Amino acid sequence: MEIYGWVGKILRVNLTTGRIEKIDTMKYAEKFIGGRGIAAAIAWEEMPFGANPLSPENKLIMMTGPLTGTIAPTSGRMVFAGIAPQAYPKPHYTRSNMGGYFGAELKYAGYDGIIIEGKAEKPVYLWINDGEVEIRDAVDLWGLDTFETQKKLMKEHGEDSQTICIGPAGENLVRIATIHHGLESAAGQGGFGAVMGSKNLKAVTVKGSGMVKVARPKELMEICKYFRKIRNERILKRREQNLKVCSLACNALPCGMIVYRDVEGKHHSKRYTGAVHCCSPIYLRFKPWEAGFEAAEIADRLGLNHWEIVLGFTGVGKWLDNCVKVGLITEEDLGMPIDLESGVFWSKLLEKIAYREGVGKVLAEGVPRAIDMLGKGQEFSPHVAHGFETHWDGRLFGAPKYPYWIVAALQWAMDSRDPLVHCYAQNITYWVMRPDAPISVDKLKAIGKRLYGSEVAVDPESGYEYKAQPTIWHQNRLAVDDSLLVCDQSFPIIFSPSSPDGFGDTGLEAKMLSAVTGIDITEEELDFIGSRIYNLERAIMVLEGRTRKDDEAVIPYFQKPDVNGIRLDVNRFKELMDEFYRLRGWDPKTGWPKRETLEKHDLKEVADKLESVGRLPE
Amino acid sequence: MRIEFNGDKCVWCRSCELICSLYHEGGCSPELSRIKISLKIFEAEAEAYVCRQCADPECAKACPTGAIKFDEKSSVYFIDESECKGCGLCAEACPYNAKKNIVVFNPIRKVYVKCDLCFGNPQCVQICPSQALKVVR
Repeated sequence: MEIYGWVGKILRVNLTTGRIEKIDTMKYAEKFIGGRGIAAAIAWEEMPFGANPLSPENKLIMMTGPLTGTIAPTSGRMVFAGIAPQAYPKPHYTRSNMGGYFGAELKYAGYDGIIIEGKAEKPVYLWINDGEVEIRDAVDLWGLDTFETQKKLMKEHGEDSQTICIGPAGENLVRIATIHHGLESAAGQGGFGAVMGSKNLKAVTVKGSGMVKVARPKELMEICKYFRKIRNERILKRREQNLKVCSLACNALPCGMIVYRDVEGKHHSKRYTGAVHCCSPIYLRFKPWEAGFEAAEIADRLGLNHWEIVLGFTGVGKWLDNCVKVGLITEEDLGMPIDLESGVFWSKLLEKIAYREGVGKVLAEGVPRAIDMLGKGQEFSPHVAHGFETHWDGRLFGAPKYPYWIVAALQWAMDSRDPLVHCYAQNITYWVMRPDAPISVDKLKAIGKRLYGSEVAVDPESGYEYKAQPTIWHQNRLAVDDSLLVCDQSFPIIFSPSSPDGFGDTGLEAKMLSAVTGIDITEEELDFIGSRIYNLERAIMVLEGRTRKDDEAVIPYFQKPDVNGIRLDVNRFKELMDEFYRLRGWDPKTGWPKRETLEKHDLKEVADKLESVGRLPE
Repeated sequence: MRIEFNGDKCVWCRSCELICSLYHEGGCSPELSRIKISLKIFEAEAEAYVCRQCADPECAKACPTGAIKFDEKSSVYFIDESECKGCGLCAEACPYNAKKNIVVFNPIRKVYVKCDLCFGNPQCVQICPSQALKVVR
């Protein structure tokens, strides 16, 4: 049978034995779509949960989805998954998502994904040229930064090859090390750069000459035009010079990388061409801005996670800034003069972190572990839960307002990383709550009723009631969107300035998947798959030892006042958690999924396994 | 009529490559696209490679079967695939094809392909979100 969308094979590369195999994507595709879903399915079958993330036993799964590499808007994305060194208090399984061009190129070469196993004896990189897959010596690449590495591999394998790689941070097993690609694409959260480093895998370079086949090309082309129509306002607003997209096929332009050329460094005497994007424009607040840009570029080149730096140590997170201000951390502790506003200071500190020099040894462990090791600074912690720093929670992140951060808190409680709360809280903030927002509260309420079943789900005057339903809707949909994959800044399209009722089209993902694969699927069916993926990921957490108690780890953070002084009502929140578990078909006492829930999702073998280890609720 | 590219306006999404191959070949494949965006990412620069629709095209003169024809209605030179034997003399003759990315071989159909401006309404120009591509007459 002709396959459309998927290209059909997943590479399995064992770096210990050098063995390279190909497995069939389609055995997972129908139940788990791709990306995050197939990664979870593979992890369930073979990840050694509980293993040291930096041991050869850990596996690094890289998956694209059926839309990756097609013209489906924003779809040039992929996911990385495995046991994450950054996860806290103990490393656990999680995922990180990346744009750019690598995932698509991998598909053009004929592979939907790669499973990396074992550990090479010495530094290696993987070279994939269509059918030819080779583990090559990377001794000459070891020690190079992410830009030098990519340039060198591009010179070797052609300027249209695509590379993911680690910098010195990943090599030195820094827990906040990224897998880097291009100027400013990375799998940031989780510390998967350190996983690559632990396997002596410096890079993967791919060149593909093939095609992602599309079942109904005309339909897909019409969808692209339609997408443009319902998204037009934001597109028109973001047409600044030097704004570049972060992913192949992003003809949506909801956001973008701001490119700077030939900026003179203040720490090193060199000029930097690069980009800032998402959270990294925060570096430009350092003084002078050129030095701030240099710090951002140094983080990219060393392969350090921007989020942990500018939402953890400094910037918005301000942990180190606050510790220094009250004298908890001194120049002596850092082993260098402190100037928190100086870009050069941060460049120097980032280098200490990536090379694990002096205090860098401690900071390389990430904010929550650094606090544990130093035994101080907890009161300023930007750490919300699970190892990840503030993200659209209404505290250090100044938005969203109450009651919208209740949904964020519940998403945070249940996830294995920072949940991407863009789709609910950020969208409501941007589209409805800001002063010049195009959508009225009345329209928002009608949308809330239509989408989540009640106006209360989005009513600015509401509280804890009817907040589990939108949480579940978004968890399921994000699992879908991370599996196709499309960008969570663009999808689901809940709001549209060009429609009379302000509602966009949340059925677009299903339409795109149907047109690309030729397998007709409805929005409801797709969300049910999202629910299956979410339940499987929960089963993984349960296998790793997760219980309701770990979900409640978010509570202390949300007891801090929000921008308007409102704190979490712990009792109401715990009742909301009860409601959430019940709606999910999970046991409220343990937080474990029930057998009937798993079986309803066609996950009987998952229930059997959980029962066999005594982790299925009575 | 030809396509003009503005590298400053280009946002690097490469949607033009994907829509071109989708429209002409039924799937997304930069290799089979008739327009190529070459990203010199570390210099933050983009270049486009696409047929310039020369007034007196070398490719047409080189073709032994006369497969490169002029369409009066849309005023474009195109390769009539039913007459192309896949010899590649056109690709060699094109003075702008040093990187073999303007007149390209399609290994599936065993013919050479190049931009035909979709006979008047180029898909790449329509999909481009930043007006980096435009049709000039």
